Amino acid sequence: MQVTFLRIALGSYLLSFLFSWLNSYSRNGLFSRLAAWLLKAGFALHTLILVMRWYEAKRPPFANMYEALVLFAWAIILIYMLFDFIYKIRFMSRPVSGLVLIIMGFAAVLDNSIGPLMPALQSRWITIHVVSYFLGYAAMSLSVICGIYYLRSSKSANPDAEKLKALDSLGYYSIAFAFPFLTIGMTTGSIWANVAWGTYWNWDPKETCSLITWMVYALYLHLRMFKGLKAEKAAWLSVIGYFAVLFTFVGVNFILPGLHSYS
Amino acid sequence: MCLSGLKENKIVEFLGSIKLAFILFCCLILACLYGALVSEEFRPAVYYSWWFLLLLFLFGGNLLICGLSRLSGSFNKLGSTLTHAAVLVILAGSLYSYLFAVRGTIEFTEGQGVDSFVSNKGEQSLGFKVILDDFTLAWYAPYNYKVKFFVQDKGIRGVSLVKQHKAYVIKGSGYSFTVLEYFSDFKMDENGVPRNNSEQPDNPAALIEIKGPGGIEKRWLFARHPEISMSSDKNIKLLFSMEPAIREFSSRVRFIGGSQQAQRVIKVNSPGEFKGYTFYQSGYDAGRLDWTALDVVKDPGVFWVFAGFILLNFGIIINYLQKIKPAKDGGKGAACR
Repeated sequence: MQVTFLRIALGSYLLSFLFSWLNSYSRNGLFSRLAAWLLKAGFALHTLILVMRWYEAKRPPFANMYEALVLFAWAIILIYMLFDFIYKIRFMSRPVSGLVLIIMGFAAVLDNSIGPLMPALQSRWITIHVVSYFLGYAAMSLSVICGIYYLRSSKSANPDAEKLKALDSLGYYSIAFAFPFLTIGMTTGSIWANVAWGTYWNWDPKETCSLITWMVYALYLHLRMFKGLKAEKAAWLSVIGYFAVLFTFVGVNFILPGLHSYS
Repeated sequence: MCLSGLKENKIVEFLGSIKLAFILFCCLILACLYGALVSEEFRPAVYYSWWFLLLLFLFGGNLLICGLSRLSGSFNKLGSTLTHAAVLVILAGSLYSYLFAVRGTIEFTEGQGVDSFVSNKGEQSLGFKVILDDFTLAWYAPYNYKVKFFVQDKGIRGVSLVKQHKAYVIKGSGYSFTVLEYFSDFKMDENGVPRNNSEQPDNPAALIEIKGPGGIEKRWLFARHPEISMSSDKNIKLLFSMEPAIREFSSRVRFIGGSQQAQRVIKVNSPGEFKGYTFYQSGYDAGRLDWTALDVVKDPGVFWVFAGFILLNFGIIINYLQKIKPAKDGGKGAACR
């Protein structure tokens, strides 16, 4: 059942992506509305998949890379819908559905069997730690989309100043929104490590990379507030920050094994 | 309140400047990255080196001076003040841990008691006795069962994670197979009926039904004895394996210290405390089920670090609510539709 739902959700995201793309050639708004509804339908199904997996596994569904990617894609859509509700950012529907398709496509080729939780992961801290991080990473995904859009739009022959300003602001808002979640994720992880291993900081590569990511975004926010970081430089820093996010989330597992070898 | 005296001194002004904060931030990012990239055995040489500690010390000093010189009673700065104070509390707590924390391990078998342990500061007396009354290692059941298959005439090979009574079709081969029964510890009883001798994964075995071009046959497979294969169809080879997964390991211990006595069950994620020491379940040996290892920690810095974490989270959330005002720019976002 889950696999069928996952395929339907992927189909919804694919159609949403195609309608968003068609919308750039048509200005009547029909394709945009269709894309939005398909994204919402896919998200509803995606939520159901997570709930079913949680119920079936009898544990939170974030124990392996497949489950982490499914949760990450879900969080990106959730944050996108929240931001769309507040800032009206329908123009981001295409890159968001595209990114979600890539993540879900990657998840689809991974082992999706439900495995048991190793003793260290059997903790109530897992939910707040993982969910906080993924909400933060999801908002960072919006910031990098804004950054890339900004860099691409600013290079065009007739850049739209109003649009660039909005992209710059939106990139900043998404980082500012994500930062508390990164902080909650990092500190709850540290408390959990102390409960499991008796030490709140091990300088494990995953821990260190999460600290680096946190520091890069702290630097972004400080530069923005005190040195007026804006426009292209801000866009580039958000791209660098997202590299740190991706390296912490995926890269470390393959390149720098450590205590987080399971995640 | 504004500490104007601090501002007037040029050196103090530089030490508390945002410019120095940015430089130190960048240096710390690079130093952390360098430490993550070196091999595991060299990591302590980076993170506990004099230059890394100096960087942290300078960063803490910069935060302190910067914070004091900008200290004001303004409610608008509450989030920012809490955040920066939190980082200082965390750094101070970490320093306290670095200087005074004691860590070590005790290893014992059931029935054995110890009153000392080898720590990072040498042999340490606990001042009380710890006795291991019982050690339990629990496995997940069912385990992860896998079947590797190879169909010789078609050259098809693969591996499937299998579940009981579920048919697995080997595409393009004309074969399918179903696991009828599996056992973690296979044994024939006196009547010749197969049964599970225990829940321990000592002799994993499976009875498999194979449907192929030649008809249906049943085959016993033994994970630890793949050479035993009673089969009429030699074209299809199957190998059975079992990956046992540990569910939990726990120690029931007694603490005896003078007139005080206590009993605790220590598990991973559920440590036990006695007289300022915390005991963490850390080791087991699947081949020696009466033996275990516990980590022993006495860290006075933990309280301060966690207090810093709470402050940090509050500070950052308050700062977000105070400084980020989305409503003002909401209309501009709409322009991007």
